[in-house]
Amino acid sequence: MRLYSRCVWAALLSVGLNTALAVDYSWSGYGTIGYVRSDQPYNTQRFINNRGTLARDSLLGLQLDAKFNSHWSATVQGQMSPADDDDNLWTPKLSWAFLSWRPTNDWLIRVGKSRLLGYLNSENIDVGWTFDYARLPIEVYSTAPSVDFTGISISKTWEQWEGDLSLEVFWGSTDTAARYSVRNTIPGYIDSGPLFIPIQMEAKGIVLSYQRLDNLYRISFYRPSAERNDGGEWVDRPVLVNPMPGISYYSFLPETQLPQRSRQDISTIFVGADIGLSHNIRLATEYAKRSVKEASGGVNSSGGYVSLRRQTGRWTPYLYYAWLRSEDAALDLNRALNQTSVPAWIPNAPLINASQHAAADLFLAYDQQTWALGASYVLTSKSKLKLEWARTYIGVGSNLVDAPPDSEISDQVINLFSLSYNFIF
Amino acid sequence: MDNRLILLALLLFSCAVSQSSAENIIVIGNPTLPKLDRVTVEKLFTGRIIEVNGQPATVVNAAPGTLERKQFLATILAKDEDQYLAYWTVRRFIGKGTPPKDCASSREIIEFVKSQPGGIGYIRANERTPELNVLMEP
Repeated sequence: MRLYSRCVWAALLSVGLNTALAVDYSWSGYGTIGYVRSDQPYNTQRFINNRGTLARDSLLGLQLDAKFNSHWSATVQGQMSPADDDDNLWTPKLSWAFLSWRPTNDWLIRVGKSRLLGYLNSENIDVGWTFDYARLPIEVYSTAPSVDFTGISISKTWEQWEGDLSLEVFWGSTDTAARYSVRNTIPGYIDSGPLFIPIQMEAKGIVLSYQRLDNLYRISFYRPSAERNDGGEWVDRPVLVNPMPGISYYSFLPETQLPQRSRQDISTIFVGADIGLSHNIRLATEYAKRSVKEASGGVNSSGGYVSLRRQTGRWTPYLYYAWLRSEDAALDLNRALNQTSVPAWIPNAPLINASQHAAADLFLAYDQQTWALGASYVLTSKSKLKLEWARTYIGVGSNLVDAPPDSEISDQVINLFSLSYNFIF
Repeated sequence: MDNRLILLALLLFSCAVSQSSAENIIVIGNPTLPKLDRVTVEKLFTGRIIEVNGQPATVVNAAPGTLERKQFLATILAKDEDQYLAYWTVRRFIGKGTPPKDCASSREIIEFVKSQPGGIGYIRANERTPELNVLMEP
């Protein structure tokens, strides 16, 4: 049993023994029924294609809050949504199960399973009612390997006259899966289609936030470390071999002595702000930069968005621009892998050529930009409709797109049309 | 004629003043609590603080739709009902608390703050009685 779980059970037991059992329970829930369709036959964001889908955005969540007294409370949240490790399954999952202790006004300690801090909306990422976009910009919100973790977070707040400055640190871990899309089957080695690699991710980070009235500013440093749960290792970079003059390819054979490691440390710096301008206009912007020092894959990237939205009665129209781009070296490697082939007379030429494409799929590359225009409409105080048109340009390539076999998705445009009903209760 | 006009004006003025007083709200609390300023009351009702001078505080709201609740939200929190609901919805779904309980009537609020250590609520000014601990008059 992990240390965190022992702490949670010990704390719950001590609260139960020390508290007169006048617990205040409160049920709540949230959900989204979302339909989205693209103008392309291949999938983007796991599920979206020109046949349309409800899978990308639809979900249902239930939350139970138990307030023991002013200082102690507990929260459990469950959710039904597409599985993290299977594109064809919907599974219930426990999103939150944490104990909260607030010894004074300024300190908040939470132990258990909760959500990653650091992004402006990482904690409420699944509650569509709480934001106006059809979905939070994937260019930023895909940069965290997972938003869930089981561990501890500690927050200290300093009250200013009209605002609060808070510093939060968190440390924990989660079991999740890294998803790749493989274009071509290599018999005996890899199958085409979605590939889920189970990983255990340890997350630690520090977040500094300043909130004044309705304006929020945040900067955070987050360091997830990922270990594969399937016994495999992370390859830092492929090795270029020259079997004979004028012919080269990237080798992944064990005897090539690939640089690899059991744990991959990702450093992520995040900056964000959501501020009110004049005339009811709000500006929101987030920027995330990821780097893996030892590796040359496309995870070394930066992404961000800038949005403007304006509430006018029940309507809140918005416009945003988002981008996600891997470092030039990663994009160069991706191009090289996709373009490398050896002549047929080279021994094992078909296997070598197929491995180059597979490597391009596994080393990741991101080069996309999105313009999105949409609006939310408040139906009632507990429900809203959202409508959005998003236009994404794929440059060199993007691992957020499932390229069909024997093809590359580059220099292409994908239009997404989204309509969703978001509610709370 | 002039005297009657003046009398009518005075009568109308006194009605306006008494109506205004009836709509004013006062913040009341348990006898153990000190006077509070507007910023502290705002922070208590938005969950940003949970205690006053080291004493745990429990705040309660008037029922949704009541005049005193609308006035309190507008005067102290600068929010309307929908904005207040939205604020607490976000706070709930980022795991940072649940909104204060709603009381069905002023009597319930008064009984709560009298009996609950750290209890804080608000009522109409014309429901004030001498034994109540008035923490703030906006």
